[in-house]
Amino acid sequence: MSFTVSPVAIVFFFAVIAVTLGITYWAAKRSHTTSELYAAGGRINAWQNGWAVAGDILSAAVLLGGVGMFFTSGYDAVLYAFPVLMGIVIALGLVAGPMRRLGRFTFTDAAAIGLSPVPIRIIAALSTLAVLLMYLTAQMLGAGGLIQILFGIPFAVAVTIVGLLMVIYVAFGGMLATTWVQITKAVLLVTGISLLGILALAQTDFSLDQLYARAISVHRLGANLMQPGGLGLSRIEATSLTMAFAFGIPGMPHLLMRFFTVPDPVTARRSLVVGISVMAFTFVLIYLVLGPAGVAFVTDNPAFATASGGVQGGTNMVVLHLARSVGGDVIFGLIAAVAFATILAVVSGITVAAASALSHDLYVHVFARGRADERRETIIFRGSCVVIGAAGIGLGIAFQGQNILFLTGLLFSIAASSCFPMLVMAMFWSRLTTAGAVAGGAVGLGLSVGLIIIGPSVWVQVLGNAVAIIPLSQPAIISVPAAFATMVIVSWLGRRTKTVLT
Amino acid sequence: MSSPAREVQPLDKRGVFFAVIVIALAGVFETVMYSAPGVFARPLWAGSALTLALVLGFLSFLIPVVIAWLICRKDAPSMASQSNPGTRP
Repeated sequence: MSFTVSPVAIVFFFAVIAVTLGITYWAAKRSHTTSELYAAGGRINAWQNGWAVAGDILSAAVLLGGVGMFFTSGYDAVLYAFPVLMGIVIALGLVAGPMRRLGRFTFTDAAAIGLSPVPIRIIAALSTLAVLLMYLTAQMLGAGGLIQILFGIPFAVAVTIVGLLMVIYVAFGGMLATTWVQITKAVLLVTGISLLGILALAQTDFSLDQLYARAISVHRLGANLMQPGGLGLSRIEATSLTMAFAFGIPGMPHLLMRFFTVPDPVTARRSLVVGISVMAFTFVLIYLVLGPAGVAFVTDNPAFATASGGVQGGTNMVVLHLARSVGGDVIFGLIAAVAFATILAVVSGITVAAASALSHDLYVHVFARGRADERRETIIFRGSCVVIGAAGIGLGIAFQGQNILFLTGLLFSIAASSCFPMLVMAMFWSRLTTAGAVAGGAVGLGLSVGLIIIGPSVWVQVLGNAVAIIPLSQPAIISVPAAFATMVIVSWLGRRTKTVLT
Repeated sequence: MSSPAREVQPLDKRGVFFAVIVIALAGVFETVMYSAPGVFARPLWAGSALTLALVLGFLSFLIPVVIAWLICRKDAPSMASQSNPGTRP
């Protein structure tokens, strides 16, 4: 890898660390109770929460992976974007208001109402931890790779730095620090990519027509660059992918926790309108401007090519090459710092939710049966942050060099197949029984994990088998309906048995 | 006698209606993507590199924003009092 370490990038890198640690210091002085640690005291307003929600969704995978995917597969990259916005609309229409009314700190608070709390909290906490630890691992792998490439730091050291920073942010500053780190990162991201978009368009005298013509002329797909089909997904796989994002987003535990940081249901819903606007603006820039610009200015550019004809650092680095190509070292440093801030903010959001599942759902409500005092719960929460941080560092190092795409696909499938059905059925279906909720959650969790393992992402690409047992890279099209159906059938059978016995 | 049903939340009909609309529109978008991909390749004007793909992609990002705004447009301020006291400041 022949990346040169950029002094400008290093300055921006330390500026990001300094600003975020400053936010944590400020937030730590205001975060003492469980309400403050888990939910920022419910004092965040709609605009702030909207930007923080956008920050939660716009991970490094969107910035680096979005431009990189357009670079290799063209227009099909859009399949990874618009279902996310669908997911936000579903969260807004179905989940946000009732969640804010019913819950306190975690989505399990809402899912457990009216059911036996212990089994529900156990299965919900397990799903939460499965989803979030995979998300954390994927982000850690991205962080380690990025920092290693940009600054020449060994992978394990890079992952450890990110892990330590996220533990400091969350253990001391709680949700308040995490929210403001997310807001800062989201503003930086939107500013950075807007600047990059302007600079890229300036290369073609602000003519989108010329930019697209140039991209089409250099890409292997030619005119097909702007046609669907570049990813080679079947119709069923595309539908399954859409389902995973559309139902996974409103089931993501760290996103659901954001509804508790605002004072009321109206603010929770309004914040999603702000959030979806920020996300849509970012997607337009990434998929319709920076993606084609990456193709136009990085393809065939000898400054960014490897000896074998690939791209230095892999296709995830295309946006950074684009930044260097159209903006020089300063813009390169800025975008690199934005990517780093993005990773730090997202792992912090994940850590808050995962630590809350350990301390609030498992410790307080399962082990202590709801009898833990506030002081003890805050200590357990901070200890849980350290445990999650250590797990993130360990998993990041253990999975070094692994394909992280299957982890990302898996976590959205699990959230869509387990967390989302449990939450929706518990909130809206009066006939749901505890056995039905637990069975459905377990079937969703087990099926999504099992089908991914025997699908092409793991069975062929990771385990090296010639053919997958099931030719679906995304199992949501099977696991989501199966989870809902199991909840209905088990609840119905349970009630029928009860009726017969009485 | 069957056991009593749990108390549940009322569905926001407006929210459900628009969520179904957005799912249906996504279905139409993907159907066109897979059944008639050539539609995406049509140039916006003769000789242009810009195609319908750009417009459809833009709409796929814009429409959910408009729908989100429509869902919240009539949110009554009285809903603000329906919060859980557990996290109120």
